[in-house]
Amino acid sequence: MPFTSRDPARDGAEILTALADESAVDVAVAAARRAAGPGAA
Amino acid sequence: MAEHARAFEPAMAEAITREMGKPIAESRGEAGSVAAKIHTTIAQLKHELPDAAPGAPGEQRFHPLGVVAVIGPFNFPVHLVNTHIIPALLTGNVVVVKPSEITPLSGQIYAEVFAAAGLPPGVFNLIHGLGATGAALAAHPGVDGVIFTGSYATGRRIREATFDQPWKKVSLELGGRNPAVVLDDAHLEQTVREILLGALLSTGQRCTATSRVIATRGIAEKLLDRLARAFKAAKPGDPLDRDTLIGPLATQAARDRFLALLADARAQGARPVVESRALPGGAFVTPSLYQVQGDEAFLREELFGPHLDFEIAEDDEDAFARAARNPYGLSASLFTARDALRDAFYDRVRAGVINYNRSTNGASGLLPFGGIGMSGNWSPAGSLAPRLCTYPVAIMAEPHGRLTPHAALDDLLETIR
Repeated sequence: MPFTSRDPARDGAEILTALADESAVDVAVAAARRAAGPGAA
Repeated sequence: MAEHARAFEPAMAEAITREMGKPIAESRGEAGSVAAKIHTTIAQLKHELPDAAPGAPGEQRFHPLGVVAVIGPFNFPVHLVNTHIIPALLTGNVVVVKPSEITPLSGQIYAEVFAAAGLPPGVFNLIHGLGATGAALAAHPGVDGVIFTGSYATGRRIREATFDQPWKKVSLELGGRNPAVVLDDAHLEQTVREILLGALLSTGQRCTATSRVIATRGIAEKLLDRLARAFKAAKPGDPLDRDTLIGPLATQAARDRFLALLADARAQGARPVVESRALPGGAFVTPSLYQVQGDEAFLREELFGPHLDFEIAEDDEDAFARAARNPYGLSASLFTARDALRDAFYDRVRAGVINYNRSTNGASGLLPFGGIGMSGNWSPAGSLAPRLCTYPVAIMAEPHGRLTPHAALDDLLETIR
């Protein structure tokens, strides 16, 4: 399952009210860097 | 992946229309482009990432950047992230995606395609958020490349936020103020049809939308009359109706901005030929057509609505010069029977997409796509996308144990033998 800042929902407005704060960016980028592996820049 | 994308097409299309108001027929086309992009990109990887030239003393390879951030717009909430994500993934990158805050559900359903396809954890990541989230993502030190599609103002802020990270590849696909130049010998029916497609599809909310018509005197009156009658007849409708040509604008704020820009244009002397009206029941506006001199300041503002500014040129040369006065440089069209003028148009009008006898709208994934000037850099979409997600590596090698000839070095080494 890819990382998302909340579980899939069917209501766009609900997603917006549950917006990630900027710390979600750190979580997502960290997950990406782990997947990219040691060869990434 | 393509099979899963096709399974999600109906849900994606409906989400796009419900969130940003694009007529459902257009949204279906957009949703269908997800699977198509996968096949197109796989086919083009070999020739867009070519081997070194014959005779080169080594090989060239294209290394993935690593973590690529893709920040998307609301007007093509699926296509304009997908067009970057697929090349990024197929060249070995991982992605962090932030859809527009206007279209979070479209972005979420798109993410579900990747979940269903079973990509390894961390390869595709999605975050929702407002501008501050996008800014934090673009400037994050763990991000190696940023691909942004949206307004010039936001693109500029991203460049600013990444100023101290010169290693970061920042690709911008920004707005447009796209002219259609119509010369006396243009085919009137074809020209009217193409200009209407350019101005009205997606309710004018395309970066490639036609927003200026520059017509020479011999055809100007007939063309203006035809466009005016078409604009008066074109009424916005329910975007979920498959026969609707024009939907609402994406938000009430977009409608307010559009109407404010038109008021500004009138204050600068633009003459309404057909005036826009706000309609009740949503962010609906009727299309507007203004006649202008060509030097008004508002012609440098992207409109993002169903509007045309019409100006009359004295001759072909004057028409080309007017089209060239454009701080944006995304798309431009020329309508004429004379193919011999094409090179002159190409030379004079700076744009990343040039169209002959066709709308400024539309793009091919098999050709480069992007603009210059205030329209962006690097042509980050289309056929060149795989290169934008990689950095080139030159690889040279000598046989194991071969000593490179160098007389002076031989002498030096002799002294330590």
